[in-house]
Amino acid sequence: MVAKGRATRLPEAYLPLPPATFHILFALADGELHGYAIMKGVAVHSEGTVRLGPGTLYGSLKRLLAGGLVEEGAERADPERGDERRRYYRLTPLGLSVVRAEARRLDAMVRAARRKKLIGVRPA
Amino acid sequence: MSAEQIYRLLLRAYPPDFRAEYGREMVLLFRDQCRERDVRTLGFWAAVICDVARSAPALRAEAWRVRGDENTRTLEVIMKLAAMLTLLLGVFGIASAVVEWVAGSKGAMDGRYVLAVVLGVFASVLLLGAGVAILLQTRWGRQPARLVLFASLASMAAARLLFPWMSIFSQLVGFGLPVTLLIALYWPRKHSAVGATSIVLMLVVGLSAPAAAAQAKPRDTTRAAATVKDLALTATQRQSFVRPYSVMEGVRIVMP
Repeated sequence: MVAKGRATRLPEAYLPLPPATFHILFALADGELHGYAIMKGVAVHSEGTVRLGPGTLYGSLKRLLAGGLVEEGAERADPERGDERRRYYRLTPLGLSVVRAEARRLDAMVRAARRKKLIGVRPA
Repeated sequence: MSAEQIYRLLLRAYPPDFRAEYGREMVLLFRDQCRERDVRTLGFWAAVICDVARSAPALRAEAWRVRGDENTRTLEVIMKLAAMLTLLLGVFGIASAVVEWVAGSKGAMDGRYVLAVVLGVFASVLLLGAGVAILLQTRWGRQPARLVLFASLASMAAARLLFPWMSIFSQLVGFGLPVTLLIALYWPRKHSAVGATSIVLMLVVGLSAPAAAAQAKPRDTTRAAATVKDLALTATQRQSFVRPYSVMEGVRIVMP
């Protein structure tokens, strides 16, 4: 969950991130996105295993905005969809550090799992 | 009813502040989902309802917690002001008891009167202590302030029993202030059954003290009659002064 007292906290203090939070930050690493683009990005990156609904997505974004991990960009219409104006969101430097730290943590876990031959080995 | 209208109804499960901030964006996102998926399938609506059921209670709980924190901060400021008022009234109570003592010492004083004044001073000192305890916020929390306020209430009730001629203002301060402060001190910081029960118990205990003390009317008019016997008053004036002290119906007041 997003921690309080953001000004003094190290990125590692936010770890481990809840799955929905990590996927949102991970999707925003591509750049500024609106809600639906984040939702699509999460579905693509997770190969369809994580599907965020509007409530979960905006609930998480509210906490991330309050924690200073994400900030709002300018409101504008999506050129691809060409409809109503939408709010865009982007990572803050702190948000980027936190998602990097979480990715490193997960990477270490995966390497440990490989060493233990829990993954990367064909079952007999 | 369209799918969007149903979704707008479902959005009512979220806190009003959240709806005001993100409601429009959520509807836009839902509209996008409707374009890409078949809204007539059970799976689509199961996913929508699951999302609302999973996220709305958490956001409601978060909104209540924030509101609770704000109320607690307001209560803390009120408690500080109440503590300062208690300090002032404690000092005033001591000064008032001293004045009472000086006035009473000009005539003959009986033991009950002396004890009542001493109890009045004691109750005021306890009020002073309660004010200090609330302001200082000791490491034992609010417990010392609560105990001191109960003791002050008990002293005041005893003083009222011994001295039924106590002024209305003194009674209001002596009973009203500790009861009000005790309600505030027992007010739960978080909603809980224990907090609610403690408030009810405190009200019963706190309000029964002045009620019991209110029963302490003199059973005869002797003392009141003796008070006015040397004053230059007419018989009617004497009777109008003494009558309120008689609680027995049909008692004939014999004036000296």
